[in-house]
Amino acid sequence: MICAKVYTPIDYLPIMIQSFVVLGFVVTTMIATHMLGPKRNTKQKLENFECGIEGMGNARSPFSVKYFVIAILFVLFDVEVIFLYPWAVNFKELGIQGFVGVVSFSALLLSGFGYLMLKGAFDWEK
Amino acid sequence: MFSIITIAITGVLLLYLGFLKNRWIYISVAITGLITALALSVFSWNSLETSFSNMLIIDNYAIAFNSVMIFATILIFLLAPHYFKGIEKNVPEIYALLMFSLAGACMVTSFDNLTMLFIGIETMSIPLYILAGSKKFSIRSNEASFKYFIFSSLATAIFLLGITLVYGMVGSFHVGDISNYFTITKEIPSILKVGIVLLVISFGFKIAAVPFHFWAPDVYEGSPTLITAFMATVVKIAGFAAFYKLLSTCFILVPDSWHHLILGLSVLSLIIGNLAAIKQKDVKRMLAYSSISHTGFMLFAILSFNSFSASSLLYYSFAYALSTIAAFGVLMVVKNHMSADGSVQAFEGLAKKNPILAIVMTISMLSMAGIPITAGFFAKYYIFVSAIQGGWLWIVIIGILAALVGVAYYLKLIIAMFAKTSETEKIVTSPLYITSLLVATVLILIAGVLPNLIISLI
Repeated sequence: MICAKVYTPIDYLPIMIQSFVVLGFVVTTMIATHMLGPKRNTKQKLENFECGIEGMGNARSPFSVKYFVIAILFVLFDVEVIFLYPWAVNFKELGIQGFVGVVSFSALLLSGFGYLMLKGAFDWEK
Repeated sequence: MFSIITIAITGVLLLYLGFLKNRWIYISVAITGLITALALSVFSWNSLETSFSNMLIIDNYAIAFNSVMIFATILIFLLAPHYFKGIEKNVPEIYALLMFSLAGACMVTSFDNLTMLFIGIETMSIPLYILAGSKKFSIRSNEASFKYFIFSSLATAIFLLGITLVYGMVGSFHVGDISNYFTITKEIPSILKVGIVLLVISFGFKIAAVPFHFWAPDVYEGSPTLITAFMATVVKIAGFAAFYKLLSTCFILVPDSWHHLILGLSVLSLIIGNLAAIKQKDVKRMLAYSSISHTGFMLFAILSFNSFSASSLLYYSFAYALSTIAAFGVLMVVKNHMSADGSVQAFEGLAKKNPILAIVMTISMLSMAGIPITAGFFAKYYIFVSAIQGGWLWIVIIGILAALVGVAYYLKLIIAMFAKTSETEKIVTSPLYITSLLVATVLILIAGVLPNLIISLI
């Protein structure tokens, strides 16, 4: 698995051109919109969260992290499917060894799920 | 392999046992699991084992370091029930995370593929981000967690970039292929050297070598002391074992590239670590800087590759782990007792208040300073011998000077314990706690008297 070809810096020229194009596009568009667009600043427009309703209170008040917990758990268990898919595609080739591997992987994930249930992470009222 | 699996399964088991709300059940399960893992690890001695399609290779080198780390974790777990006395919330989770981190550390020492090394380092580090912040309402603990997370993830990013550059040139993640590449290729492309430098930098972060040490004092100070003891021993030893293995198997044939870097890291760690430690008032911070200076000594083994350096590194790790755990163990009780004050003054008169603790602390400090008949003396001796054999005489002279400076601040603590008195009541500890400290102390002395037991292993 050893590549005999020696790469010289000139081989990376396309990558450099690509990065210049990307950077150039972003910078040009930003400067162009800044120069071309009309500017009519008012007090309401310059507010941090302008949405038509007047802002009130302090943003630094504590809030429930329930949503965050649910969201992160969703991502965690959703990602599991990514690992199951390639296994399902190669089911025949991987044989019994692949099956045992996936079952033990799922068992570990399920044990984490059970722990969360017992811990009350899905208890919305708590 | 089975020892890693045992550790991981014990971790999962601990999470569930936490619901029983009986702290003696989960501590005994944790220690049983660790002892089983240690036995499985020791009994696979001399049987070379590769698993996961050559991703892991468990040879004697890996087994020796794994056993040291598992043993250190057992000692730390013996300290835990007393440390967490009165705290009921989330203790089994802390134990479980320590287990997962240890499983990662055991993977790190036995990698045979750079992707496995990456996975191992991440498995080791991610639980530690949480553990560093496990004292939830202490602002210093939160700071430690956040700082460790930022620095460590930066180091991981650098590490990944290094692997990428190496892969780009060599075309393989496999350790054997990488070392073959250097026997075939005579002219090494510069981009590959950049990759090696990045790998060295990221490991410099992990083992807290100067100038990548800035996170270490703050994180060590802010984390709960039990976690600091784990970080300073297990994580550091794993980092060193992996660093040594990476450079000695993959990049040993690269002429004149990383030797200068290691030399710089080592000398800077010795000088700055020791000089900064003298100025510290807080004992935990002082131990953090002393750990940085020990990094400098341990880097000698990496600097001088010969048949002797691996075993001298192993011996140094063992001696360092024992004395660090003993020191942090005593610090934990003194600190709890004196209501969260960890300064040198808190140690005043400890010889009267609790003579056993004072003796344990004295022996561990003497071992760290490298005074004869403790393990620390032979640790420094062997690592110096290995460096002289490698032809690095002048750096050994710097090392000896640094060790002399080190004696100053270790003795400061001993003087505070014995010469000064204070008006406070006795310190009480649990029998399990004292057992762990005494085991560490006795082993420091045994290893100091009979160094051949360990030095002839690998």
